[in-house]
Amino acid sequence: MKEIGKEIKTALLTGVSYMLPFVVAGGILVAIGFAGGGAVAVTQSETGFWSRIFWWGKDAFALMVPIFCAYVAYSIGDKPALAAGLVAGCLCDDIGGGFLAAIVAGIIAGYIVNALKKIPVPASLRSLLPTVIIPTLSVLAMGFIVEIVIGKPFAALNEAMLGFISGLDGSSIIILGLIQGAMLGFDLGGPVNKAAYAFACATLEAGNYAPMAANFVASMAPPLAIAAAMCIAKKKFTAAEKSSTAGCFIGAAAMISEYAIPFAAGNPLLYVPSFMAGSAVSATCSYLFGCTIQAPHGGVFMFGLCNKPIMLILALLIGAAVSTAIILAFKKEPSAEEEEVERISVTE
Amino acid sequence: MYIVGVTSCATGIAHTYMAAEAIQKVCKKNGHKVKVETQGAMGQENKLSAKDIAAADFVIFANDVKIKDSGRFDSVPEEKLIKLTPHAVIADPTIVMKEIEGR
Repeated sequence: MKEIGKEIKTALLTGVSYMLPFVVAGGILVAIGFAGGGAVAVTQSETGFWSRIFWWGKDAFALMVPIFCAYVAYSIGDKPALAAGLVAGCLCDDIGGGFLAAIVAGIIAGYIVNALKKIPVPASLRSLLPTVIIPTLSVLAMGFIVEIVIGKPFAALNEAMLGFISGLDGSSIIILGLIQGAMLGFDLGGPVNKAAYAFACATLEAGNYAPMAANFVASMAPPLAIAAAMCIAKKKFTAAEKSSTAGCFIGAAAMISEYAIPFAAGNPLLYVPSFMAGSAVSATCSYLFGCTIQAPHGGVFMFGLCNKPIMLILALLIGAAVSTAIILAFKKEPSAEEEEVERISVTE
Repeated sequence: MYIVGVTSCATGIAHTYMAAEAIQKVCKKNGHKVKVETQGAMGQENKLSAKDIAAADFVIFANDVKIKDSGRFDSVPEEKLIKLTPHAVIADPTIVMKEIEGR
Protein backbone atom coordinates (compact mmCIF):
# COMPACT_ATOMS: atom_id res chain seq x y z
CA MET A 1 0.00 0.00 0.00
CA LYS A 2 2.86 2.36 0.91
CA GLU A 3 4.52 1.56 -2.42
CA ILE A 4 1.40 2.63 -4.32
CA GLY A 5 1.22 5.84 -2.32
CA LYS A 6 4.81 6.65 -3.23
CA GLU A 7 4.21 5.71 -6.85
CA ILE A 8 1.25 8.11 -7.05
CA LYS A 9 3.15 10.91 -5.32
CA THR A 10 6.03 10.51 -7.76
CA ALA A 11 3.53 10.48 -10.63
CA LEU A 12 1.92 13.76 -9.55
CA LEU A 13 5.29 15.47 -9.13
CA THR A 14 6.41 14.16 -12.52
CA GLY A 15 3.24 15.64 -14.04
CA VAL A 16 3.86 19.02 -12.40
CA SER A 17 7.51 18.94 -13.42
CA TYR A 18 6.77 18.50 -17.13
CA MET A 19 3.84 20.91 -17.01
CA LEU A 20 5.76 23.88 -15.55
CA PRO A 21 7.39 25.18 -18.77
CA PHE A 22 3.98 25.27 -20.47
CA VAL A 23 2.43 27.16 -17.56
CA VAL A 24 5.24 29.68 -17.40
CA ALA A 25 5.60 30.29 -21.16
CA GLY A 26 1.85 30.37 -21.71
CA GLY A 27 1.04 32.56 -18.76
CA ILE A 28 3.75 35.09 -19.49
CA LEU A 29 2.90 35.36 -23.20
CA VAL A 30 -0.78 35.83 -22.35
CA ALA A 31 0.19 38.51 -19.87
CA ILE A 32 2.47 40.25 -22.39
CA GLY A 33 -0.35 40.21 -24.93
CA PHE A 34 -2.70 41.75 -22.37
CA ALA A 35 -0.16 44.38 -21.39
CA GLY A 36 0.68 45.36 -24.97
CA GLY A 37 -2.68 45.25 -26.66
CA GLY A 38 -5.27 45.62 -23.91
CA ALA A 39 -6.94 42.74 -22.08
CA VAL A 40 -10.22 42.85 -24.00
CA ALA A 41 -8.97 43.89 -27.43
CA VAL A 42 -6.46 41.05 -27.90
CA THR A 43 -9.04 38.36 -27.15
CA GLN A 44 -11.44 39.76 -29.74
CA SER A 45 -8.94 39.81 -32.57
CA GLU A 46 -7.12 36.99 -34.33
CA THR A 47 -4.56 39.23 -36.02
CA GLY A 48 -2.17 41.94 -34.91
CA PHE A 49 1.12 41.73 -33.07
CA TRP A 50 -0.11 41.67 -29.45
CA SER A 51 -3.07 39.53 -30.31
CA ARG A 52 -0.89 36.86 -31.88
CA ILE A 53 1.38 36.76 -28.82
CA PHE A 54 -1.72 36.37 -26.66
CA TRP A 55 -2.98 33.43 -28.76
CA TRP A 56 0.42 31.69 -28.77
CA GLY A 57 0.41 31.94 -25.00
CA LYS A 58 -3.16 30.65 -24.94
CA ASP A 59 -2.07 27.60 -26.97
CA ALA A 60 0.82 26.86 -24.61
CA PHE A 61 -1.54 27.31 -21.67
CA ALA A 62 -4.12 25.00 -23.23
CA LEU A 63 -1.54 22.21 -23.16
CA MET A 64 -1.06 22.53 -19.41
CA VAL A 65 -3.71 20.02 -18.31
CA PRO A 66 -3.08 17.48 -21.14
CA ILE A 67 0.68 17.49 -20.51
CA PHE A 68 0.18 17.13 -16.77
CA CYS A 69 -2.17 14.18 -17.28
CA ALA A 70 0.13 12.61 -19.88
CA TYR A 71 3.17 12.63 -17.60
CA VAL A 72 1.24 11.40 -14.57
CA ALA A 73 0.30 8.37 -16.69
CA TYR A 74 3.84 8.12 -18.09
CA SER A 75 5.32 8.04 -14.61
CA ILE A 76 3.19 5.03 -13.68
CA GLY A 77 2.96 3.12 -16.96
CA ASP A 78 6.10 4.35 -18.75
CA LYS A 79 6.19 5.08 -22.49
CA PRO A 80 3.08 3.09 -23.51
CA ALA A 81 0.95 5.17 -21.12
CA LEU A 82 1.79 8.55 -22.65
CA ALA A 83 -0.90 8.40 -25.37
CA ALA A 84 -3.72 7.39 -23.03
CA GLY A 85 -2.70 10.08 -20.53
CA LEU A 86 -2.43 12.83 -23.14
CA VAL A 87 -5.80 12.04 -24.72
CA ALA A 88 -7.42 11.72 -21.30
CA GLY A 89 -6.00 15.13 -20.38
CA CYS A 90 -7.51 16.73 -23.47
CA LEU A 91 -10.86 15.14 -22.64
CA CYS A 92 -10.66 16.41 -19.06
CA ASP A 93 -10.33 19.95 -20.43
CA ASP A 94 -13.15 19.44 -22.95
CA ILE A 95 -15.64 18.44 -20.30
CA GLY A 96 -14.61 21.15 -17.85
CA GLY A 97 -13.03 18.81 -15.34
CA GLY A 98 -9.70 20.66 -15.52
CA PHE A 99 -6.76 19.94 -13.30
CA LEU A 100 -8.65 17.94 -10.68
CA ALA A 101 -10.06 15.48 -13.20
CA ALA A 102 -6.64 15.20 -14.85
CA ILE A 103 -5.07 14.03 -11.59
CA VAL A 104 -7.46 11.09 -11.38
CA ALA A 105 -7.50 10.41 -15.14
CA GLY A 106 -3.70 10.33 -15.35
CA ILE A 107 -3.42 7.86 -12.47
CA ILE A 108 -6.13 5.61 -13.95
CA ALA A 109 -4.52 5.73 -17.41
CA GLY A 110 -1.17 4.68 -15.95
CA TYR A 111 -2.61 1.70 -14.11
CA ILE A 112 -4.79 0.63 -17.05
CA VAL A 113 -1.69 0.49 -19.24
CA ASN A 114 0.17 -1.48 -16.59
CA ALA A 115 -2.72 -3.95 -16.53
CA LEU A 116 -2.82 -4.18 -20.34
CA LYS A 117 0.90 -4.98 -20.40
CA LYS A 118 0.03 -8.24 -18.64
CA ILE A 119 -2.39 -9.49 -21.33
CA PRO A 120 -1.16 -12.94 -22.29
CA VAL A 121 -0.41 -12.95 -26.02
CA PRO A 122 1.27 -15.68 -28.03
CA ALA A 123 4.93 -14.97 -28.66
CA SER A 124 4.37 -14.55 -32.39
CA LEU A 125 1.98 -11.65 -31.71
CA ARG A 126 4.10 -10.14 -28.94
CA SER A 127 5.00 -7.04 -30.95
CA LEU A 128 1.32 -6.21 -31.39
CA LEU A 129 0.98 -5.46 -27.69
CA PRO A 130 2.88 -2.15 -27.54
CA THR A 131 2.21 -1.13 -31.14
CA VAL A 132 -1.53 -1.78 -31.51
CA ILE A 133 -3.27 -3.34 -28.53
CA ILE A 134 -2.15 -1.09 -25.65
CA PRO A 135 -2.52 2.26 -27.46
CA THR A 136 -5.95 1.42 -28.89
CA LEU A 137 -7.48 -0.18 -25.82
CA SER A 138 -6.04 2.29 -23.34
CA VAL A 139 -7.22 5.37 -25.26
CA LEU A 140 -10.63 3.77 -25.82
CA ALA A 141 -10.93 2.95 -22.15
CA MET A 142 -9.90 6.46 -21.07
CA GLY A 143 -12.53 7.93 -23.40
CA PHE A 144 -15.27 6.01 -21.63
CA ILE A 145 -13.83 6.61 -18.18
CA VAL A 146 -13.34 10.36 -18.50
CA GLU A 147 -16.58 11.16 -20.30
CA ILE A 148 -18.91 8.77 -18.52
CA VAL A 149 -17.44 8.07 -15.08
CA ILE A 150 -15.23 10.86 -13.74
CA GLY A 151 -16.22 13.73 -16.03
CA LYS A 152 -19.47 14.99 -14.53
CA PRO A 153 -18.53 14.82 -10.84
CA PHE A 154 -15.23 16.58 -11.48
CA ALA A 155 -16.76 19.29 -13.65
CA ALA A 156 -19.16 19.93 -10.78
CA LEU A 157 -16.33 19.84 -8.24
CA ASN A 158 -14.26 22.26 -10.34
CA GLU A 159 -17.16 24.67 -10.55
CA ALA A 160 -17.84 24.34 -6.84
CA MET A 161 -14.18 25.07 -6.03
CA LEU A 162 -14.16 28.25 -8.12
CA GLY A 163 -17.52 29.32 -6.74
CA PHE A 164 -16.16 28.71 -3.27
CA ILE A 165 -13.05 30.83 -3.85
CA SER A 166 -14.83 33.73 -5.50
CA GLY A 167 -17.47 33.62 -2.76
CA LEU A 168 -14.91 33.73 0.05
CA ASP A 169 -14.80 36.80 2.24
CA GLY A 170 -13.66 37.96 5.65
CA SER A 171 -12.45 35.19 7.91
CA SER A 172 -12.62 32.39 5.34
CA ILE A 173 -10.31 34.21 2.94
CA ILE A 174 -7.85 34.69 5.79
CA ILE A 175 -7.85 30.93 6.39
CA LEU A 176 -7.26 30.24 2.70
CA GLY A 177 -4.40 32.74 2.65
CA LEU A 178 -2.80 31.29 5.78
CA ILE A 179 -2.96 27.69 4.53
CA GLN A 180 -1.82 28.51 0.99
CA GLY A 181 1.03 30.72 2.22
CA ALA A 182 2.18 28.25 4.86
CA MET A 183 2.28 25.48 2.26
CA LEU A 184 4.34 27.64 -0.12
CA GLY A 185 6.81 28.54 2.64
CA PHE A 186 7.05 25.02 4.04
CA ASP A 187 9.43 23.31 1.62
CA LEU A 188 10.34 26.15 -0.77
CA GLY A 189 9.80 24.52 -4.15
CA GLY A 190 9.30 20.97 -2.87
CA PRO A 191 6.18 18.81 -3.16
CA VAL A 192 4.02 20.73 -0.66
CA ASN A 193 4.92 24.04 -2.29
CA LYS A 194 4.09 22.59 -5.70
CA ALA A 195 0.68 21.40 -4.51
CA ALA A 196 -0.17 24.96 -3.48
CA TYR A 197 1.25 26.29 -6.76
CA ALA A 198 -0.87 23.84 -8.74
CA PHE A 199 -3.93 25.22 -6.96
CA ALA A 200 -3.00 28.78 -7.96
CA CYS A 201 -2.41 27.64 -11.57
CA ALA A 202 -5.75 25.84 -11.71
CA THR A 203 -7.63 28.93 -10.54
CA LEU A 204 -5.60 31.14 -12.89
CA GLU A 205 -6.54 28.93 -15.80
CA ALA A 206 -10.18 29.16 -14.74
CA GLY A 207 -10.07 32.94 -14.65
CA ASN A 208 -9.68 33.74 -10.95
CA TYR A 209 -6.44 35.68 -10.53
CA ALA A 210 -6.38 36.32 -6.76
CA PRO A 211 -4.73 33.04 -5.61
CA MET A 212 -1.83 33.62 -8.01
CA ALA A 213 -1.14 37.05 -6.54
CA ALA A 214 -0.99 35.43 -3.11
CA ASN A 215 1.28 32.74 -4.58
CA PHE A 216 3.67 35.43 -5.87
CA VAL A 217 4.26 37.19 -2.57
CA ALA A 218 4.34 33.99 -0.50
CA SER A 219 7.02 32.54 -2.81
CA MET A 220 9.10 35.72 -2.77
CA ALA A 221 8.97 36.36 0.97
CA PRO A 222 11.39 33.62 2.21
CA PRO A 223 14.49 34.62 0.21
CA LEU A 224 13.74 38.30 0.84
CA ALA A 225 13.39 37.65 4.57
CA ILE A 226 16.70 35.82 4.86
CA ALA A 227 18.51 38.44 2.77
CA ALA A 228 17.09 41.22 4.92
CA ALA A 229 18.03 39.36 8.10
CA MET A 230 21.62 39.05 6.89
CA CYS A 231 21.78 42.78 6.13
CA ILE A 232 20.34 43.78 9.49
CA ALA A 233 22.26 41.44 11.82
CA LYS A 234 25.59 40.74 10.14
CA LYS A 235 27.05 39.17 13.27
CA LYS A 236 24.46 36.42 13.43
CA PHE A 237 25.53 34.82 10.17
CA THR A 238 28.72 33.15 9.03
CA ALA A 239 30.76 34.52 6.13
CA ALA A 240 29.66 31.73 3.81
CA GLU A 241 26.02 32.40 4.61
CA LYS A 242 26.43 36.11 3.94
CA SER A 243 28.02 35.43 0.56
CA SER A 244 24.57 34.38 -0.66
CA THR A 245 22.92 37.69 0.33
CA ALA A 246 22.88 39.07 -3.22
CA GLY A 247 21.64 35.74 -4.55
CA CYS A 248 18.77 35.78 -2.08
CA PHE A 249 17.70 39.27 -3.16
CA ILE A 250 17.75 38.14 -6.79
CA GLY A 251 15.84 34.99 -5.84
CA ALA A 252 13.23 37.12 -4.11
CA ALA A 253 12.88 39.44 -7.10
CA ALA A 254 12.63 36.54 -9.56
CA MET A 255 10.27 34.52 -7.33
CA ILE A 256 12.63 31.60 -6.85
CA SER A 257 12.07 30.53 -3.25
CA GLU A 258 14.69 27.79 -3.68
CA TYR A 259 17.38 30.34 -2.78
CA ALA A 260 16.28 30.02 0.84
CA ILE A 261 16.68 26.23 0.89
CA PRO A 262 20.29 26.07 2.14
CA PHE A 263 19.22 27.92 5.28
CA ALA A 264 16.12 25.80 5.82
CA ALA A 265 18.14 22.62 5.27
CA GLY A 266 20.81 23.71 7.72
CA ASN A 267 18.51 24.72 10.56
CA PRO A 268 14.94 23.59 9.79
CA LEU A 269 13.61 24.13 13.30
CA LEU A 270 14.34 27.84 13.08
CA TYR A 271 13.81 28.64 9.42
CA VAL A 272 10.87 26.46 8.36
CA PRO A 273 8.44 27.97 10.89
CA SER A 274 9.66 31.51 10.21
CA PHE A 275 9.32 31.10 6.44
CA MET A 276 5.88 29.52 6.84
CA ALA A 277 4.72 32.36 9.06
CA GLY A 278 6.01 35.07 6.72
CA SER A 279 4.60 33.44 3.59
CA ALA A 280 1.24 32.88 5.27
CA VAL A 281 1.06 36.56 6.27
CA SER A 282 2.07 37.68 2.75
CA ALA A 283 -0.56 35.50 1.08
CA THR A 284 -3.26 36.61 3.47
CA CYS A 285 -2.42 40.30 2.98
CA SER A 286 -2.56 39.84 -0.78
CA TYR A 287 -6.08 38.40 -0.51
CA LEU A 288 -7.20 41.11 1.90
CA PHE A 289 -5.81 43.87 -0.33
CA GLY A 290 -7.71 42.33 -3.27
CA CYS A 291 -4.59 41.84 -5.41
CA THR A 292 -4.80 39.84 -8.64
CA ILE A 293 -2.15 38.95 -11.21
CA GLN A 294 -2.48 37.25 -14.57
CA ALA A 295 1.05 35.91 -14.99
CA PRO A 296 1.87 32.52 -13.44
CA HIS A 297 5.53 33.26 -12.63
CA GLY A 298 8.18 35.94 -12.92
CA GLY A 299 8.34 37.85 -9.64
CA VAL A 300 8.73 41.64 -9.66
CA PHE A 301 9.19 41.61 -13.42
CA MET A 302 5.49 40.80 -13.72
CA PHE A 303 4.23 43.23 -11.08
CA GLY A 304 3.15 45.61 -13.86
CA LEU A 305 0.44 43.08 -14.67
CA CYS A 306 -0.98 43.21 -11.16
CA ASN A 307 -4.14 45.21 -10.58
CA LYS A 308 -2.64 46.84 -7.46
CA PRO A 309 1.16 46.61 -7.71
CA ILE A 310 1.83 48.90 -4.74
CA MET A 311 -0.41 46.83 -2.50
CA LEU A 312 1.23 43.61 -3.73
CA ILE A 313 4.65 44.99 -2.80
CA LEU A 314 3.25 45.98 0.56
CA ALA A 315 1.91 42.43 1.10
CA LEU A 316 5.36 41.06 0.24
CA LEU A 317 7.16 43.45 2.58
CA ILE A 318 4.82 42.78 5.50
CA GLY A 319 5.25 39.02 5.19
CA ALA A 320 9.01 39.22 4.74
CA ALA A 321 9.24 41.53 7.75
CA VAL A 322 7.41 38.96 9.88
CA SER A 323 9.85 36.22 8.77
CA THR A 324 12.87 38.43 9.33
CA ALA A 325 11.68 39.40 12.79
CA ILE A 326 11.20 35.76 13.82
CA ILE A 327 14.60 34.76 12.40
CA LEU A 328 16.40 37.59 14.19
CA ALA A 329 14.58 36.91 17.45
CA PHE A 330 15.59 33.26 17.62
CA LYS A 331 18.83 33.06 15.64
CA LYS A 332 21.94 32.66 17.76
CA GLU A 333 25.33 33.94 16.73
CA PRO A 334 27.44 31.24 15.14
CA SER A 335 29.77 29.60 17.66
CA ALA A 336 33.52 29.72 17.19
CA GLU A 337 33.31 26.03 16.37
CA GLU A 338 30.90 26.60 13.49
CA GLU A 339 33.13 29.31 12.06
CA GLU A 340 36.07 26.92 12.32
CA VAL A 341 34.23 24.07 10.59
CA GLU A 342 33.26 26.45 7.87
CA ARG A 343 36.80 27.75 7.44
CA ILE A 344 38.01 24.20 6.94
CA SER A 345 35.32 23.26 4.47
CA VAL A 346 35.97 26.45 2.49
CA THR A 347 39.69 25.81 2.19
CA GLU A 348 39.08 22.17 1.32
CA MET B 1 33.43 1.06 -3.61
CA TYR B 2 31.96 2.66 -6.70
CA ILE B 3 28.66 4.38 -6.03
CA VAL B 4 26.43 5.91 -8.67
CA GLY B 5 23.30 7.97 -8.19
CA VAL B 6 20.47 9.78 -9.94
CA THR B 7 18.71 12.84 -8.51
CA SER B 8 15.59 14.70 -9.61
CA CYS B 9 12.98 17.10 -8.19
CA ALA B 10 9.82 18.78 -9.46
CA THR B 11 11.23 22.17 -10.45
CA GLY B 12 14.65 20.78 -11.28
CA ILE B 13 16.71 23.81 -10.27
CA ALA B 14 17.64 23.35 -6.63
CA HIS B 15 16.88 20.09 -4.81
CA THR B 16 18.21 18.04 -7.75
CA TYR B 17 21.65 19.64 -7.59
CA MET B 18 21.82 19.94 -3.81
CA ALA B 19 21.03 16.24 -3.43
CA ALA B 20 23.69 15.36 -6.04
CA GLU B 21 26.26 17.44 -4.19
CA ALA B 22 25.33 15.86 -0.86
CA ILE B 23 25.77 12.34 -2.28
CA GLN B 24 29.11 13.24 -3.85
CA LYS B 25 30.43 14.83 -0.69
CA VAL B 26 29.45 12.04 1.67
CA CYS B 27 30.82 9.33 -0.66
CA LYS B 28 34.13 11.08 -1.17
CA LYS B 29 34.45 11.72 2.55
CA ASN B 30 34.14 7.98 3.13
CA GLY B 31 36.70 7.21 0.44
CA HIS B 32 34.35 5.91 -2.26
CA LYS B 33 34.36 6.69 -5.96
CA VAL B 34 31.14 8.36 -7.00
CA LYS B 35 29.24 9.60 -10.05
CA VAL B 36 25.85 11.30 -9.86
CA GLU B 37 23.53 12.01 -12.76
CA THR B 38 21.20 14.99 -12.35
CA GLN B 39 17.82 15.05 -14.05
CA GLY B 40 16.86 18.67 -13.53
CA ALA B 41 15.16 21.33 -15.62
CA MET B 42 18.01 21.13 -18.16
CA GLY B 43 17.45 17.41 -18.74
CA GLN B 44 20.01 14.72 -18.01
CA GLU B 45 23.48 15.91 -17.05
CA ASN B 46 26.55 13.84 -16.18
CA LYS B 47 24.70 10.86 -17.60
CA LEU B 48 25.47 7.39 -16.27
CA SER B 49 26.61 4.99 -18.97
CA ALA B 50 25.81 1.28 -19.09
CA LYS B 51 29.41 0.73 -18.01
CA ASP B 52 28.99 2.96 -14.94
CA ILE B 53 25.86 1.11 -13.92
CA ALA B 54 27.37 -2.33 -14.44
CA ALA B 55 30.47 -1.39 -12.45
CA ALA B 56 28.57 0.20 -9.56
CA ASP B 57 28.51 -1.45 -6.16
CA PHE B 58 25.44 0.56 -5.21
CA VAL B 59 22.91 2.66 -7.12
CA ILE B 60 21.24 5.50 -5.24
CA PHE B 61 18.01 7.09 -6.42
CA ALA B 62 17.10 10.40 -4.78
CA ASN B 63 14.09 11.35 -6.87
CA ASP B 64 10.73 13.10 -6.56
CA VAL B 65 10.13 12.79 -10.31
CA LYS B 66 10.18 9.56 -12.28
CA ILE B 67 13.71 8.57 -13.32
CA LYS B 68 14.34 9.07 -17.04
CA ASP B 69 15.63 6.09 -19.01
CA SER B 70 14.82 3.88 -16.03
CA GLY B 71 15.31 0.81 -18.26
CA ARG B 72 19.06 1.28 -17.78
CA PHE B 73 18.69 0.09 -14.21
CA ASP B 74 16.57 -3.00 -14.93
CA SER B 75 19.58 -5.28 -14.51
CA VAL B 76 20.54 -3.82 -11.12
CA PRO B 77 19.59 -6.30 -8.39
CA GLU B 78 17.23 -5.07 -5.68
CA GLU B 79 19.85 -5.33 -2.91
CA LYS B 80 22.13 -2.87 -4.73
CA LEU B 81 19.38 -0.31 -5.25
CA ILE B 82 18.83 2.36 -2.59
CA LYS B 83 15.74 4.49 -2.99
CA LEU B 84 15.66 7.83 -1.19
CA THR B 85 14.19 11.30 -1.70
CA PRO B 86 16.22 14.44 -2.46
CA HIS B 87 14.90 16.01 0.73
CA ALA B 88 16.13 13.11 2.91
CA VAL B 89 19.60 13.21 1.34
CA ILE B 90 19.97 16.99 1.72
CA ALA B 91 18.74 17.01 5.32
CA ASP B 92 21.13 14.24 6.35
CA PRO B 93 23.69 13.08 3.75
CA THR B 94 24.98 10.36 6.07
CA ILE B 95 21.73 8.48 5.41
CA VAL B 96 23.41 7.26 2.21
CA MET B 97 26.22 5.58 4.14
CA LYS B 98 23.79 4.21 6.73
CA GLU B 99 21.72 2.60 3.98
CA ILE B 100 24.81 1.07 2.39
CA GLU B 101 26.10 -0.28 5.69
CA GLY B 102 22.68 -1.74 6.40
CA ARG B 103 22.82 -3.90 3.27
